[in-house]
Amino acid sequence: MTAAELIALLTQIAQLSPAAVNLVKELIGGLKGQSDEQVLASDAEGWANIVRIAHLNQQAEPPTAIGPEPGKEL
Amino acid sequence: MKKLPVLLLALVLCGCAAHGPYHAAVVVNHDARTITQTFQQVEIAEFNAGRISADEHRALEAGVEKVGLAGQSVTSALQQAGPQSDVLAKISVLVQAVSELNANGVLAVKNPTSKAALSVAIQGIQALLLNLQKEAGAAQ
Repeated sequence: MTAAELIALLTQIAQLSPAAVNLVKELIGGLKGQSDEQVLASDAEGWANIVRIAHLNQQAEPPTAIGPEPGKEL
Repeated sequence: MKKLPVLLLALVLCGCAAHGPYHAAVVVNHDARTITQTFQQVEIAEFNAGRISADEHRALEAGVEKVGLAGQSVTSALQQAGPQSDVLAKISVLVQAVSELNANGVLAVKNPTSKAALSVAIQGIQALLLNLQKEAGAAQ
């Protein structure tokens, strides 16, 4: 998958669900100037947040959708 | 020539300062994490909008949790820059987790709009994981 294909795919998701818009912007913003170490540290935190939110969303009874803190990127 | 798409991806999205042996895999792993995050946010938004049922929501988030755990494991392996076989084994677990998320979560979603959005995201993750396997396998 090329960069152009990736951005086209995210744009397609954003058209189907506006929830994806911020992530499209983040991806287009890119990783300029970051070392592999920095990128991996950020991704370790990102994956951990995905796990935390997924876990919380399964625990709630009745289920309530729990997302990232307002104004804070994952 | 087969490397061109990944080189383009790296040039457009990265320009990273310090590159390790798995640099191309690091970039693709980042993209896979971003699209998984997109998938989760779309899922939550669709549930909040009432288009995904409580049972579907639980099944989807259970699948996302497994994908997230597998993604953490791949990221950790890349951070350690360990043996290629170890990195590839962890990517295989991630590929399997995404396949299960699709089979047990996305394909069961009844609302066609929600299902379409989640399906596009899953296909994107799967395409990126194919790239990730190639790049990790090609790392020197």
